[in-house]
Amino acid sequence: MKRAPLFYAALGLLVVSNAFVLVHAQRNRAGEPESEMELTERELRYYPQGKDDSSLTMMLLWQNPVAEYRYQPVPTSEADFFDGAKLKEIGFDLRVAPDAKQAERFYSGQRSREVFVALEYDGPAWQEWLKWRAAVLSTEVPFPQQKPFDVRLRIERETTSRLVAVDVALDPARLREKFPDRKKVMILSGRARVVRDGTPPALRGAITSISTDGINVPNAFRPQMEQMNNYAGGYHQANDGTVIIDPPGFAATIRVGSKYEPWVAEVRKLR
Amino acid sequence: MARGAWNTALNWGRHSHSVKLEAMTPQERADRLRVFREELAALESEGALELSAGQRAGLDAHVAKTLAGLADSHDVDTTESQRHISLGMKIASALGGLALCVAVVLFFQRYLGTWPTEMQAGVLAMLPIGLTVGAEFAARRERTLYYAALLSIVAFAAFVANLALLGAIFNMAPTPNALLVWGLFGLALAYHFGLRIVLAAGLVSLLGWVIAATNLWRGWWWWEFERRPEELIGAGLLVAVIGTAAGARARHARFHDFPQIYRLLGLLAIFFPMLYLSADGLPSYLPWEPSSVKTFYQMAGVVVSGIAVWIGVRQSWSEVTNTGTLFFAIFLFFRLVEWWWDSMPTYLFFLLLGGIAIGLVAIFKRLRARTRSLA
Repeated sequence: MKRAPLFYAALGLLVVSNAFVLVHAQRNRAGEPESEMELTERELRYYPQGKDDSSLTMMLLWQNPVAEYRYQPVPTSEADFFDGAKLKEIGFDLRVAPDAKQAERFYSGQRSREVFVALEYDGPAWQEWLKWRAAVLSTEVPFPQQKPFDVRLRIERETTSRLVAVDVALDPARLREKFPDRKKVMILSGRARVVRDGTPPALRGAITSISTDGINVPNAFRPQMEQMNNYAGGYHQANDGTVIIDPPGFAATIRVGSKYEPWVAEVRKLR
Repeated sequence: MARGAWNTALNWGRHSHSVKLEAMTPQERADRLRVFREELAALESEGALELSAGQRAGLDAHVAKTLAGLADSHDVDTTESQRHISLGMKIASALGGLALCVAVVLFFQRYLGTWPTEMQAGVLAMLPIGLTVGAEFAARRERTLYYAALLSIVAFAAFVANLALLGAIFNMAPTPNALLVWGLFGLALAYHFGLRIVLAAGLVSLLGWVIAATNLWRGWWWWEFERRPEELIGAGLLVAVIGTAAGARARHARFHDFPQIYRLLGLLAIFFPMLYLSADGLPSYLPWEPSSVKTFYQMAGVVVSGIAVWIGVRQSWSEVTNTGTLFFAIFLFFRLVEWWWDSMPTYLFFLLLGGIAIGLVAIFKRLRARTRSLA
């Protein structure tokens, strides 16, 4: 009996931590969702698992104009939301000039910070993104088997994710004030970093990830998901070489709750 | 004053090694009695000691009674063959525990997704609770704690899977607080049952939480240890000191080997970041050029591991001596590669390596002789 307190403490930890998780999840989903939108297979990729893995997960695909690593700079109008002022607002220390001798070490030592990311669905940011992609594709050196420029652009326009990062902030309420349309803009937690690159070196912000981009699909939607074929890039080629765009196989209603955590509310088969 | 404090600190280990019956585990007492009986027989056969028949009978009866009492109350091994079997049981229970952990994870991977959410949450929560209760039940029925240890290891793994999978089911953003509760759960089980392996699992979780929470409080994302590895050195030092200090004060024999785990994990947390920084100086807090930081940690690694060996030998802390020796060799090897690999034929490099190893053996031999003369 003398040894019992630690045993009960261990049991207490198990009970309290499970209760905490369940209450947190319940509070996230209680009331009106913070945002709700129907996305298709273009934005939600489902990869069927082998027989030893029963999990059903959709990966949220999104376009990132402020990626950490990029081969070609995004036009300023798309990426200027993550400038020096925003970096300072989020808490990054920018006191060393980007061209100073110690700048490389100073900025590479700064870790990511947790932020909230606004993702706009099929809006002006997506149109801007397509313009930038057209500019990038037109500069690519063609190779013999490559599809013509207009076909490549059509594939991008009709198969890739239309969800585009449009802003970041520490306070999600401020993002919602700026983007009030809850059917068009979803806010999720993610991570951002300060990046020093370019010639001459300059500082810019980068979104490095979305924390909840793997979204669990409840077992209730398994029948719909298991009927899906592998979405092989969203297009295929006919015998004569013509590119045929495959329509998305499903659409899923994604809700985001008061804790900015998403869940799948509905799955609809499209073909 | 500082010297006095240092000596006091170094003497903690010595006090813990002094031969006090109340500080010994029942198994240690039984081992000592067994060795005493063998040595007594040897001394008698060599003619160095002669006990009267009455004395001998009295002594034999006392030793036999004590051993029988220990075997009865604590299920200790009283013969060499029993010790071998117990070692096999320990290995089997550790391997069995690991295999069961893998089984739990694979079971969840195979079936969890096919259940409704309520059932997923219920099973995930009930499994570690059931295993913990099972471990307590087993501990009350068997004194050797083999089954309790096995069930505790699986309970810890099930709790890790419990929170990680619940987080995934509800798409929760990852939080370092999970590391805290895993750590506290591991420590509660370890101190309840007196299990080292669960203590190690709990301490690793707590080490992770200390660094993660410190980063989070400063506004940084919590899971980027590699960008500032020195934080782990501080946390490792803290764990080693706390474990040693707590061990010096602990009177309960069940926890007599817990400080070894604290010191071992603390040293690993100190040496791994040093090794990392000796290869890449960029992530350091030190306000020097990365190349200078690298050189500093290359030297510091050799010096600190050498100091660890010295403290380990002085205090009879085998885990400190062995870990220090291992990292001393690693740091030295990397240094020698960098200094000599390109500038001499390969055979000469390995010849020098062999020469250095022989030199180290000579140094250790002298240290051993010195320790013997001090004893």
